[in-house]
Amino acid sequence: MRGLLQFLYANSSFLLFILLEIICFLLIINFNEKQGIIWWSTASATIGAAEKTKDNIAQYFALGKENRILLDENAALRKRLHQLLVMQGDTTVGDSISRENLPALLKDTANVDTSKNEYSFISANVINNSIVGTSNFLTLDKGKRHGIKEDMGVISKDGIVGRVRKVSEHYALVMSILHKDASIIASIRRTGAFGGLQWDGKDARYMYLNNIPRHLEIQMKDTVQTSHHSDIFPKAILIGTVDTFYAASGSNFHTIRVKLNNNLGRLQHAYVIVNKHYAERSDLEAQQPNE
Amino acid sequence: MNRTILNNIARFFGFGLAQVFVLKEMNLWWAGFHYFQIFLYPLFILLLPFRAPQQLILFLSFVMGIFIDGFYDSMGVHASASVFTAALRPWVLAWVAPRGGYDSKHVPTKAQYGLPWFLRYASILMGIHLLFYFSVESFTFVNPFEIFLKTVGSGIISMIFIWMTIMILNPKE
Repeated sequence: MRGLLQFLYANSSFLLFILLEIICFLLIINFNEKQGIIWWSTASATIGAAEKTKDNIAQYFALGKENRILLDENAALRKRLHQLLVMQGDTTVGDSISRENLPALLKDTANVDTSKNEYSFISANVINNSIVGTSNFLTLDKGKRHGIKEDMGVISKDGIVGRVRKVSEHYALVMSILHKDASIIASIRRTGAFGGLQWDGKDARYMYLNNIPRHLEIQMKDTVQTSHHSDIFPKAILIGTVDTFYAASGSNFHTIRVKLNNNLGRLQHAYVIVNKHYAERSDLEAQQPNE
Repeated sequence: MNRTILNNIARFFGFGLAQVFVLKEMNLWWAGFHYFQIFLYPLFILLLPFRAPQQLILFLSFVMGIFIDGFYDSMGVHASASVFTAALRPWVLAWVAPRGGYDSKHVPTKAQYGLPWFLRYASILMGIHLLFYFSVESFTFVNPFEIFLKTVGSGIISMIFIWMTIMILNPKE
């Protein structure tokens, strides 16, 4: 302690010089338009580059885990492919789909009528994310150039993520479902009852499903999924499970706490949903007569 | 209050007000001629007495810079250059020290140490001040030649004004 004080005393004029220069510097970047612009653009470019590097490193260390997740996803897709082929009446398919016969099988499914298929997916990496505060946004590393437009839904392997709010040439800004203004039409898989899913801005693991009339029966652990009323998400995408629910006295609706299935804080990959009929549908709905 | 303090208060306001009301207007009047800006206020920093503690010199320079910035609408730019100049003042003084050294009762003036000594001392510190000022003012080293030209042009014209001021006032303490 005495050593520190002696050091401070011995260097007091140098420290005062540094302090005054820091004050000047803060004044310069805050009160001078030109210098402020140069400073903030340089700073944001540097921070952006640093964040990208950090992200690359983090992705590298998560590779093992990502690999496992991808394998799981692959497995699930193969199973689904199998089901599809069986549904088509292709009884020649055995129980196993091996690496060797996969291309041939995929060729088979190419004949499945996909013109009715409204949705396609664009895969993207999450390069910026936040789950604190009440207004959370994510940044994806794909943008206009890759076909992303405003108002597209974003999901991950485990659940829903949000809705695209802004797109630039190479990036997309996504309003997280953990945002006070986000509202998703969600339904309960078992009964089909639907309501609006919202976040209270507190715990990133839970959201609240409102507007389900209290006469409808609800059980703990009921699965909550996207509703077929939703205009941006395909129906039946898993959101979470009913955690607790109650009906406030005097209210005609349940308040249902939903435990989210995905962990938004650890998101690395997301899929942007391209709904081919979105514009057509929203145009039509905008024309509804007002009487 | 002794004479030295009164003198320095007078210089603070004299040079400061001359800078913001007369010289700044002259700079504007030469519209476009921003390679020749007149800087007189650093003379206040140059003429602070030897016995003033370095911390006080830094602080007074900061106040002087902020005062100028207030009128130039360039908050912090002049102040940072002034603080930098004040920080290097002891080093420059040591560098240009005359053979007999300095008397701590004195003030670094022409009257004490002669005109050649003073011009050398002033031009080094003015060069430092202007180089720092124009660097901070452009806030980027994209155009180092531009900064260099401004420093040389403004340095020459400022030294002429400092020389004239010293000849007219001939401050002793």
